[in-house]
Amino acid sequence: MVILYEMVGGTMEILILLKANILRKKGTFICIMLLTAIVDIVMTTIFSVKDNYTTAIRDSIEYSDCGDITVVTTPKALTDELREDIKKHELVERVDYFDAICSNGVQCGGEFDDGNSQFMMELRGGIRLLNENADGYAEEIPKLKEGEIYLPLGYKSKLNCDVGDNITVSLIHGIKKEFKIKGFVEEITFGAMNIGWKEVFISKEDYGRIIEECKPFVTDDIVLETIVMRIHKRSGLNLSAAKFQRKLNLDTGIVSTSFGALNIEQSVHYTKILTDTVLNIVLAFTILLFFIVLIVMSHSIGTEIEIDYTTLGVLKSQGFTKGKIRLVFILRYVLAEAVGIFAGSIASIPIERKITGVCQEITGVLSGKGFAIWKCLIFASGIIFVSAMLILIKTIKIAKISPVRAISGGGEEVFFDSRMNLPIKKKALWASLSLRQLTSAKKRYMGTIFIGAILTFCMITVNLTGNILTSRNALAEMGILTIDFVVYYSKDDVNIEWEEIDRLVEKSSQIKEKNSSLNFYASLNGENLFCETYKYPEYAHGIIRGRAPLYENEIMVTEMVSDLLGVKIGDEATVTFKNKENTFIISGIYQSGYDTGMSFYMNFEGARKNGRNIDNNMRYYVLEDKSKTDEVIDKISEKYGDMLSIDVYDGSTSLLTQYDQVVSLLKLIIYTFSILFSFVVIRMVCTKSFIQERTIIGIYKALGFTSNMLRLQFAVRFLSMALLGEVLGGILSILFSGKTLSICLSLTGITKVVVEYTPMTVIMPIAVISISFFVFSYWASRKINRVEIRELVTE
Amino acid sequence: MKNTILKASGLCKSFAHNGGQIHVLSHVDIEIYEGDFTVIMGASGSGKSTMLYTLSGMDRATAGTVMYKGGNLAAMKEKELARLRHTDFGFIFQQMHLISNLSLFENIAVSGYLNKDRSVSEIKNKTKQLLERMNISHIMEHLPTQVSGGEQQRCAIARAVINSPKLLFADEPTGALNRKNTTEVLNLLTELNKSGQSILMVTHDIKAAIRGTRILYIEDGKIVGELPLPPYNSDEEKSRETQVNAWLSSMKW
Repeated sequence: MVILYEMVGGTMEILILLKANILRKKGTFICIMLLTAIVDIVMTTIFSVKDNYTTAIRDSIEYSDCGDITVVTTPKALTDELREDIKKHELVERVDYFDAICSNGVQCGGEFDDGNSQFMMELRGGIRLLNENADGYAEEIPKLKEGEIYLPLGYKSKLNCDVGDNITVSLIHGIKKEFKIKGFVEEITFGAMNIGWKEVFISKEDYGRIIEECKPFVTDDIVLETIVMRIHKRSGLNLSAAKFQRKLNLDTGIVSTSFGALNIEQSVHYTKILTDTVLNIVLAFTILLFFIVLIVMSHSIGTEIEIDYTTLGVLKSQGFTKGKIRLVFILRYVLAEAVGIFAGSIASIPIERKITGVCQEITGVLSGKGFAIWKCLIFASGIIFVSAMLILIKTIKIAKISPVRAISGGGEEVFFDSRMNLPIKKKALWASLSLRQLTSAKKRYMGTIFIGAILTFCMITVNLTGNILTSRNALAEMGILTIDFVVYYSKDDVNIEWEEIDRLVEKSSQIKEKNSSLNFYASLNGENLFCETYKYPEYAHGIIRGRAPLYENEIMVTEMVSDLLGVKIGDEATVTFKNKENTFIISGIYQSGYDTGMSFYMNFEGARKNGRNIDNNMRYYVLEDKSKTDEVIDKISEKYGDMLSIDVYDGSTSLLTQYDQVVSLLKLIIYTFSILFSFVVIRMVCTKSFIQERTIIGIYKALGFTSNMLRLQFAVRFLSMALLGEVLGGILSILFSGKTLSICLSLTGITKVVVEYTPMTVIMPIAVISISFFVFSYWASRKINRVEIRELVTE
Repeated sequence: MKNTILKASGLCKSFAHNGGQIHVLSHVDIEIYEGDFTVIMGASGSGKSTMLYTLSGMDRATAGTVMYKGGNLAAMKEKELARLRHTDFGFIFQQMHLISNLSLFENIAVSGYLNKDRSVSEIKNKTKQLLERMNISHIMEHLPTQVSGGEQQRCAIARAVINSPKLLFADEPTGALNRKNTTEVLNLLTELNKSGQSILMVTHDIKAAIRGTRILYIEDGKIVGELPLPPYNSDEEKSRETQVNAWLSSMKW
């Protein structure tokens, strides 16, 4: 209120003072403006991109009329009775049925989908075709001819394919079919890049031909024809899709008897998971950057009050109240921020469009290119409010300035108010003097040290994220399997002993891990979840508590499932698969990257007990010496020929590679912004230090120090601050990096991130920050060269 | 016949101001002799401090030359000038300008450390001797802000002479001191001069000026008068002061 009164009561003098201050302190104005602009660019981009794809997903759900639950089942499982039960269920409004052929993988060039199922069907309603530039929808969807296929947009990046490319679809009994990509469509349920299952669309002719060709090889255990059901809950029903699915399954067993199901909430969750995770990490980083802006601002105001102590005293003696002076401070900094926000918002438009394009290929949904104006306005108001509060706090000491004391030089005592007895040495004199400057004005440099610490923490944390993806041990501890190769029986009648293949492998390398797995969806206490089953549960990874399910009546659940179902170790849980129900004891809690953590784990015996037919026709291998992979594969191929087929996971074909690329992009963003911030911050701090130390620099010059020595003093001081910041950043990283990443990656199902430090994890940030601080401060101190000593001494 | 230690010819110094030029020094010719205690006097704004800074190489002349040991200060590179400052020239400021985060001992020793020809122990011993001589050894660990103005100025003198400069420049060294401290500082400078130290001092204080052996009067950027004096003797202070006052009156002081 006082400030408002001052503003009304003395607008002209405040404006004059404001204008003079902005002109005289252009550097500060520009630096604050730049820093705010950088923060605003990132924030605005994130808000707009998130808004764009969230809106697009909502629109797509509405347009596609995809229902609340999508169930993939087989004609055999979907009995007339079950159909009738669902149709008549009190919660169900309607069900749409679509026939589909189940394929087991799609390949384009060198890229292949990791054996996930595709549901090939004729084009249905609710699907939109993207135009050639993928920036809008085609007005109509041309009918497919024989050999043509429409793929969901999520495949474009995943398979690195484009319109006109040929893809190969794997069907049953080793049958493969080639299709030409006619276009990309928007399919909301499974269309995102990171969702395993996909709906693909083929012509009626191709559909009939495939059925005809494959039908002779269909057995009880081999699925070809499926039915995709889209179940709509009754309108006006206040029930989440997950609860609707659970209730319907408990009442009818539709999910338990099916191939698998996905409700619309899960679809949206999986569709947004990758982009949300990345953007949340960048958002967290940007919030830290905003803290840096506040630290810089706080330092700048504190220094300005020291430098302008006399001027402020004179202003007070001329009738300016502390309120008016503080208001000028607030207006100047807030104006700089406002200009930064405006510039940042403009600059963010092309960046936002580019990022939206990238996200579009990940989410598989055509996003608009709108600007999240309200969110950005709220964010801008938040920035300005927080800054204004900070300035109000920082300028409290203006009240303590006595005009008489200020004019008589009382302000000088604020310099070098403390001192540590680091000796001055003749050898490397400039270095010891530099350290003295630092230790005798510790408070002045605290902010810079904190900035160094925050940047180091961010850089180390992003490096750790990269390490997770490249470290087999870390991935394994988090329940994510990285395998070298998988061997399959090519045909159903192959009967080779796996131990025989093991012995062949061991001739080249020790086997670190081998296992056979079969994954499917099953109900756990009525909840449709991903079920991981393994032949050798003793190799289980990611166990957080308890132990692996070694016996046929045991399972492990993830923390998320444990929370969802309210079960813990020792509790009993009911698993339902194809109408067969069994009770299992929970032996452990683990974490898994499958289905973003919505999964549970049992051994083959448990799966068999529950009616799952285990065909034992595959085994994956992890070698002690990964470099021997090619040699091993050659030996297997040579000995067994086409009886076995082998998929090699060389790290370039898996989804991990795509995550790795995302992390590389994150690294680039964080390193670039850190360097940019270092530059602006150091320039600003250096300029202030230079003004504060003009006299001392002049004295040193008068004593015979060269400009170069003095610049080195400056640079060494900032290097020392960088090193202190790096130590602090390292400690922060040890304490919080794992926890921060666990929070950021919890969306993906990883609740306990295992961080693995390598020398490069730490060396890179230290090198980048040290070099940035040293070089930028040396550059920023170039003014020392240009100023004559007399000018410095006499001020 | 005195040896010339520093010689300036046609020395000009101008400053840009409001789109025009202010000529502070105008074609000054001056020689400074070895062993002299030369004093430059003049009214405020006459250009005496500018002359001191230009002659010491701390400020660049707009035109003219300043010759020292056969080299022109005006044409020297920064590195050469820096070397001169820690080997051949010493400087005392009106405001002392000690480094506020170094103790008195360190303030003096730092200047010595710049001299590569001397060992650390030699510099430390010399610093201690100077502290004794300036009567501030008991406060050598104090920071400048913890001692009086007189003590600060004595420390500044010690710092200026630690490298045994050929020429000591002093810009109003007593300007910020009280009467007692002024006398102490002037006694030190006189003592230094008597031991052979060449001094060039700017002052407008007659008490300080009478310590000189040669007084130059500057007006509007030109040297307009010179008064040679015998070496200072405290017994003759009154008569010396009368003589200088009379001379200054003739200069329209």
